[in-house]
Amino acid sequence: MKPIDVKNLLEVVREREAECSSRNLYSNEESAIYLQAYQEAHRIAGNKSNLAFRAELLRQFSLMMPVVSEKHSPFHGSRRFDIRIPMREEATKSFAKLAHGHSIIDWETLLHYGPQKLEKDIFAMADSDCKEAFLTAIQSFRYYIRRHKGCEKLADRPPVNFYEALQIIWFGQIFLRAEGASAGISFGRMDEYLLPFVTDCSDETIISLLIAWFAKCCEGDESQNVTLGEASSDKLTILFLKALNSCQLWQPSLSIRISSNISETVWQEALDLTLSGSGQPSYFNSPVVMEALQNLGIPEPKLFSWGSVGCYEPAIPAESAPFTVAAAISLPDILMNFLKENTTEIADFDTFIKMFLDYFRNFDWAKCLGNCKDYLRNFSATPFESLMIKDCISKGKYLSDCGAKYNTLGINMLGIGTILDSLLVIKHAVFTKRIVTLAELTKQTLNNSPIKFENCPFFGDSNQETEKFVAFVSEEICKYLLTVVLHDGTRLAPSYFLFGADIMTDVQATPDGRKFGERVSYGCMPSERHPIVQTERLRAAALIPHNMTPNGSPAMVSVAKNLLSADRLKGLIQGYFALGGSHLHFNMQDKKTLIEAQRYPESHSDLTVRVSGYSAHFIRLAPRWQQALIDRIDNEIENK
Amino acid sequence: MKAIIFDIQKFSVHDGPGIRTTVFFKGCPLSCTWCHNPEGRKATSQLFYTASKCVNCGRCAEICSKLCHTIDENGHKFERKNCVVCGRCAEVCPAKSLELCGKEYTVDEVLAEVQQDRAFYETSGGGITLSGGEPMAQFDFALELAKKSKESGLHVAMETCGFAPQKNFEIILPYIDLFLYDIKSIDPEKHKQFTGQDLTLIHENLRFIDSSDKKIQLRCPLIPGLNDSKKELSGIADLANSLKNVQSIDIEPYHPLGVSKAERLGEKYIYEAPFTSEEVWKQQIEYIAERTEYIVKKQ
Repeated sequence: MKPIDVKNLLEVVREREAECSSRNLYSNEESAIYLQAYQEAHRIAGNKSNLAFRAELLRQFSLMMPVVSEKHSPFHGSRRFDIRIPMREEATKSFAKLAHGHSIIDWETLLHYGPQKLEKDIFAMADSDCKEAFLTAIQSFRYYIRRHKGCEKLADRPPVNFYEALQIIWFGQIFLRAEGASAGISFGRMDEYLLPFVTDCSDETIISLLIAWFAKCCEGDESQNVTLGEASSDKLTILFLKALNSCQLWQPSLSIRISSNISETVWQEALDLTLSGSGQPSYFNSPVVMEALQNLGIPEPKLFSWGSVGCYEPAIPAESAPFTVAAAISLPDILMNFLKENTTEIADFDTFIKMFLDYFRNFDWAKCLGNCKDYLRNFSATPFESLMIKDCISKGKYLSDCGAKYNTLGINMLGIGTILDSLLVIKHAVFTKRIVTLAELTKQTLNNSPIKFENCPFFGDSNQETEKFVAFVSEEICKYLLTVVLHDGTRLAPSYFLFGADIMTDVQATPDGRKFGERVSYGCMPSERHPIVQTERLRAAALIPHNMTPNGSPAMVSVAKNLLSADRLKGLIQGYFALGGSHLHFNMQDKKTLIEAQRYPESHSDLTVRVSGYSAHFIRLAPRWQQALIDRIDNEIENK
Repeated sequence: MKAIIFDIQKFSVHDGPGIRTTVFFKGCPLSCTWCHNPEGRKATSQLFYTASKCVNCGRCAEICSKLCHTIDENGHKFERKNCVVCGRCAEVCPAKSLELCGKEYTVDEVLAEVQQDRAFYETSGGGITLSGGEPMAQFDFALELAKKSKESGLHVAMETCGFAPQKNFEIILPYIDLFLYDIKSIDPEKHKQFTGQDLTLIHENLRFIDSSDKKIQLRCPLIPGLNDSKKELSGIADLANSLKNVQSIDIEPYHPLGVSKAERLGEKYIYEAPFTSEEVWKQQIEYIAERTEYIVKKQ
């Protein structure tokens, strides 16, 4: 293989980004052909099951998509097609809402045995619709690979070196996208399972191949996660971090597992990458994540294999159907509904909080989310993803039909900080100080004129009584959700986080003084309305039960990058994790730079920021999102 | 035992290594004309009044027994002459236009607050920093706080102007890991003129601390037009070179926050420095760095 001209490769990526004004590098030509493939599949199999339709879609895709082999990149195959176009073109349920995806398939089997072995296994299945669909999918996959000159062998045998391993993973990733499995299909612990392939490679070769592969990952998807750390050797962990630091591309998202086993060298590389300001990597507290997954019913021997999916969501690779973004609820709306519906006199705050928690529990979660799961089963049946998950072949079931060993459904909860503040306001103003009645407070809030109270306790005030209350309420919610089992045996995985909704959703006014449309709290953190410092925010965020939120509860530190040195960064991460926090990521940009980029986007096309669960170019973000990032940065830590 | 503290600042990254909590003592024996923290000069509580925040609600006027606040058609007027700084007006002010600066704390109260961020000190190499004002001006309290902090395993730093009896430094030395020692000027006359105090004792104490093998970071506020001449800069390098435990020379840029703070305290601010460009800072740092082996950095 000839050496890669990394500089040229990165220039091509940037030119394409500028050309198509999209961080997904979509190509109109590829998107149009994808639409044709979709329409053809619809014509042939539109009236069949969703599984059969998607298998046909993969067949059409493998026949129709142009072979893309470009001079600047050693990797073949392109993913610059926009799968959302068919959804816009026709109102169809052939594609479920983009709420699927977010899984880690069995990359190890693909790498060690190759696709021909999977086809053999499928042949051995008893006759069924699943068998037929899986067979079509794997045969289409092999055909698609064979069409790419120089890659033919990968259709018939496992990869034999690092380059081939990355190439077949890339083909797999294209196919997962092509069948419409939504976003966030993640790679799991690449620094572990790729180790056998790097024996004869120099570090320089590995880094340049990784950069070329990262460039491919920027095509057509975002929030694809690579999980690093706690591998049996640091070699690839370090090279992944170095490669991303040197190219500063926005995909994939690197997550690093932190435990007492992490070496100083890995720490240093990870911190260097964070200090570069690109928002990568994100840090996970591995022991707490494992405890949370155990609370979800994952048996102990499996826990260590966990990887991060999409933005923040831990899952067991190859054996689980996590559906991490399938269900979303707004806690502020639930509180407001409770206040609206409650007409009884409540004597004291203890009774009030008991009634609120009962209201939450009495909602028919099992039925509602059971319907959500049925929807996924009926309209999000993905043959390729399924055959790449252990047990689906032996069970003869596809992924959303509980084909995997571990079947869970993420329940993403928005605004825990906002409702904790609201409950504290109710406690203070209605029951302790008796400044206002509950009815009056509710009325004012519903009229979008929430009352502002002085000296009111709030989430993040470092008061012991508040802290006890925060821990109690946030734990009660998770404790209950963890007991819910859906009709098909699926368990609920709570998370205090709803991607983007803290910024992009207009949530009704709440008793904490927040008006309609103003931002609600982010992740598991206190509301940004309070002028408290980062350590106070993190201490508060650590109060929620991270070991009960297996679907992830992110916290973010936004500080101008010149203010934090590596030792302080490490101190924040380790301090937060020592307190029980599970996941931390950083946005380290200067406020002034972001404001300038807003004004003069053309001069800041490369400015990469942490959006939430992934990084992206600042100028490609919606104005509302840009403003939130600017507002949240602690630009100055007061120097007296 | 109590002390008047005007701030306990968590997540402090400017006052020593790692993540720290800085405790600001009220009261200072020096009266630097450019003082960055004019609220730290007086040893007693004071009132900040920010006119732009006032909503003219009149609550302060209702509660003040000394009639310091009046509200009329021209708005709120605050007459400090009869004010005894009881703080009741600040308590009722809904807009934080009036704020009490300086509150009495016991050592245990301060320590409890400092301990809250302990998880973040341990791995970042941080801890507590006693600052001000001048912590040595409330010596008994500073000693007790340093002692208890040390006993609980915290890294203890103290920022000091050095103007205190040497015997007090001798007593507190075992409980301090790092001194952030202010050098306002190396010229005795200028020092007297700009700070109101003699330089001799300050230098004697610095040499005493150095002879006790305690770590020292020299902190040099460079005030444009006052103490940033080449003679001063090379004097800083010479002073550092004559010591053996200096970790770094930290050049502190002048910042104009003191101007607005003094205004909010109803005080006159003596010296407002002109703007200094980054380029000039760089040159000044290089000038010192060329004359010493020690690390010279901008704070």
